[in-house]
Amino acid sequence: MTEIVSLRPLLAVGAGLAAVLPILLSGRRPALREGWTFLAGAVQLGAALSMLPAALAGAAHVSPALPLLPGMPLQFRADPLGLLFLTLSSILWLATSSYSVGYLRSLGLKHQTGYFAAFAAAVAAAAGVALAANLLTFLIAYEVLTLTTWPLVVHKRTSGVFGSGRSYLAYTLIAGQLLLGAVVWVGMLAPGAQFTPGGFLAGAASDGVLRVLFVLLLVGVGSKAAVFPLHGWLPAAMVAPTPVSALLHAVAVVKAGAFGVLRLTGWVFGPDLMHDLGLSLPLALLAAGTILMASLRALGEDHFKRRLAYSTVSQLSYIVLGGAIGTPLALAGAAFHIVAHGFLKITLFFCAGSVYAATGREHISQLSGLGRAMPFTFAAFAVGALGMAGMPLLPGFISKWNLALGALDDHQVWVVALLVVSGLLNLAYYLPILRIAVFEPGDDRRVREPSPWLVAPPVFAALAAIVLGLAPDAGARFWFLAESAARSVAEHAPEFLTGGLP
Amino acid sequence: MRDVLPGLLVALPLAGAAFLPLLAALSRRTTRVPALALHVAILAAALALFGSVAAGGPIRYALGGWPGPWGIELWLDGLSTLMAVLVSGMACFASFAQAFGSNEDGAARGSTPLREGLLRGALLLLVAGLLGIVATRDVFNLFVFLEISSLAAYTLVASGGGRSTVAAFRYLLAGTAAGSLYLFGVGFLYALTGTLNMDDLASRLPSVEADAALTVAVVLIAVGLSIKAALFPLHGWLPDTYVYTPTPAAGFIAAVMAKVSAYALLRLLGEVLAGTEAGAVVLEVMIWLGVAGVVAGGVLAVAQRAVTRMLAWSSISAMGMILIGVGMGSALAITGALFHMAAHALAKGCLFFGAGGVRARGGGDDVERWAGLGARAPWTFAALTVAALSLIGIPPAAGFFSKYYLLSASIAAGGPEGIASFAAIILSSLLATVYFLRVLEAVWFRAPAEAPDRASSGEPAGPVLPRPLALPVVGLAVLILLTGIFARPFERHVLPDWETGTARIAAEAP
Repeated sequence: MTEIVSLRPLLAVGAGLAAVLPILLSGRRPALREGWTFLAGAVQLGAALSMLPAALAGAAHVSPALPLLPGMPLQFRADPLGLLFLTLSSILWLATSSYSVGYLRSLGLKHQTGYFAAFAAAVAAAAGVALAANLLTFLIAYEVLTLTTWPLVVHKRTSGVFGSGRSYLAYTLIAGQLLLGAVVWVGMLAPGAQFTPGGFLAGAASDGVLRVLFVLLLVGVGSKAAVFPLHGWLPAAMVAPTPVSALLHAVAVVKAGAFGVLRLTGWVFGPDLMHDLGLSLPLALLAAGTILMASLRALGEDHFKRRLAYSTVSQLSYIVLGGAIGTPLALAGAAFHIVAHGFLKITLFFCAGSVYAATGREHISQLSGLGRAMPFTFAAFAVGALGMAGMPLLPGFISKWNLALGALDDHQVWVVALLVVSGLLNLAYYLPILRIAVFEPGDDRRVREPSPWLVAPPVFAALAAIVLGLAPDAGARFWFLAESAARSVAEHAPEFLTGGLP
Repeated sequence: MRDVLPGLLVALPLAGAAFLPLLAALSRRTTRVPALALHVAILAAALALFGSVAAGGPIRYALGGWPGPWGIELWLDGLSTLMAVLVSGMACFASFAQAFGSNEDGAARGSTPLREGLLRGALLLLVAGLLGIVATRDVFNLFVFLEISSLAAYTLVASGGGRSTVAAFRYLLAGTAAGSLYLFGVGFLYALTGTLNMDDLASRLPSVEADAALTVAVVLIAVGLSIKAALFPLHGWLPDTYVYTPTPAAGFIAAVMAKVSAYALLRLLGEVLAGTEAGAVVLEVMIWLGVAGVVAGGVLAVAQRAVTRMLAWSSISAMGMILIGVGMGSALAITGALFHMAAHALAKGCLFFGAGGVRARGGGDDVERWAGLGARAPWTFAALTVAALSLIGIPPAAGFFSKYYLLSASIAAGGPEGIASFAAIILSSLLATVYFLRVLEAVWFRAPAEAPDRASSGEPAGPVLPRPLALPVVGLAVLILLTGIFARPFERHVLPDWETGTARIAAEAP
């Protein structure tokens, strides 16, 4: 891959970071403060889109390397997978920001300045995760992401919230330390530890050591990705304000973990080595177990946001599953699912937040009648719910279809069955929400849609999802990016199954 | 320059230590400006030496023109100039805190210019002793400087009155025992080899028969210096000393005092005595004790409710990490140990200035009484947060990189001690996460507890800590970040000197 040394990757990562101080300093003037957020979001999105033409031409923008440790620089590279994640997070950051403005104002939440500052820092860290060129840079961004999202999780500052915050930190920081240990180890075995399509660890150490390393790295990234049994923090973290949950699920924390799993399987170990070490099947089974277990938990959950949280646990394991299978189509499907799940899940969370802002209701059984009172919100919700279940013409279908094809390339027929069952389970826990909201009579006739700030973002996200479902390669070229990321891994694994991609 | 500066580095603080109290007694006016100017001058000398050594190689300097092995030599290479910069730089911050922060410090209430002058003299004397240890190439001279620094430190610790006198006495007992053991060890070495010069010792030791006397000498020296370096389980003096020392001195003592002794251990055991059989065994034992100290210090820090005591136990954990590096002795390990000396000195200095300042303003030492302080002094507490995160090992703060080097060294070392150190360092980060984030949660997110006594007495809110203390706190936090991000020159200048030094000594051995 041709590399273009430029400052654009730094601009993409630095935009959010640079906005933190101005946001903190303009706490007394909310309009100016939010202006900084939107400015930084626009700069980040602009930087991301400006790197797209190079990616379409098969090149990548690379930032100058800052030497931090022997052979391990701090460096950012906009390869297709990173660019996909970066573009997604900047689009959704802008949407979430406008939603946050409406949400915080209508509920009159305190500490808004700290909120927006931490939000900007968290998105910058997510951008750092996206563009990290090597494991060290990834680790740094990953740790910063943990710390900057902690204030957001404990935003309400009651004693129960602190408990959830501690559980969040316990999972993520312990995992972070294991990741640190693993990164040091990898750095000793393979100097530089630079993400390479198809992996760079083959032959670097004995099989036993590599398996231990894989487990350490997987726990490191898997706890953020909420892979069973490391998912305990995610439902607890639902104490956060809704826009924060939306961000955590769609872009920042959980998604960064899933992204990390893809990097780990495709760019550190590579499908070849994964198969040789016998790691693919166990990881796939772990993902399958997570998908089913979380779906079943979601069925029994009456708390609106927690049901969505379990749905995330389940959906993100599709990405893990794709990484585990490792065939080109499966990888492309997994990478595309980062985008699909991002748009769909953020829609669902926005809707849950709007319901809470308009009525104060947090449980699904209390939703009766709201579908008629809040038609835009629930129309958007319907798009999100059906998309999650893998309805054709919506983006969730594209990722699952490719996942299934990729699994068949590897003769893993059970994956298709799993996808069907999981799709049905998705319907089983999403449709009742719609049924209660639309068909059960409401008791409160005064409920109306909340302010436009709260209605526009979910509608926008739902429309974007529809466009993405009809034309997955339109606009930001998400499908192209997902496919070329998968292709780059497949190209470097010649002995392995390379069927599927044209 | 090169033929004047090394002598000046030690002579300047020594002369200042005598001159400042005299000036205070004669002029009966405050001596804060001359004291600060002296410290800045010493730092300038140290920086000039660092630059000169980096550019032109190590400097050998014969005191009084008497060359070694008969005269006393100073030896300045990348390693010692780095330590000199660290010591004199931290001394500048401490002197600033002493000059402008102490009038609000409860310990110094009712102080006179003479008393202040004496305390400033004691700080200079401490700096003189520590810089002497760093620079000297003579094992007996090292003992002299060790005693000078200890005596000055006892004075500073005891200056708080009350409980700090007891802590100082305890420190004195431990320190005297340490000094005596070291001196006995040096005596044995002198009897065996007939020399006190380190280079001379290193070249003569291989021809000395490895008998009980040599073993005893090595062990005595190691134990003596380990007490001063607070190597677990010889750390008993440390917690009370750090907790009860008045703020400006606490920030300095907690930052560099134990580290200079660790440096002496590195010089003697890692370089001069490395060839001896006993030395090798002692270094391996040191790794295991370091591992125990890392874990025990972390666990006990979690158990503390008082912030300063928690910081003290965290120091024991950190010293364990440094001594693991010293014990391993590979280039990676030494880099990690040195880096951690710097990273930990900056962070602990920062935290002790901050915690001491809060205590001096009546804010209490209990974690719960720190609730809500972040909103009242955001800049200061942001700086303290950086220091805490650095000690946990969160990138890009300096502490992350020292842990990275030490973890790499553990993997490279392999074997049981490599695995144990690897696990201990990871565990220590987790424990640090627990005890520091508890404080940060209180500081930033918890509402201040309603203190009935304060409400009824109508005490004014006022600043959280004496304003002048905010400067060292914030300055150190900035240094922590800069050290982390621009650390490579450090490795480039310091390590080659160390490697050529040990290689030279190894080559001289027959």
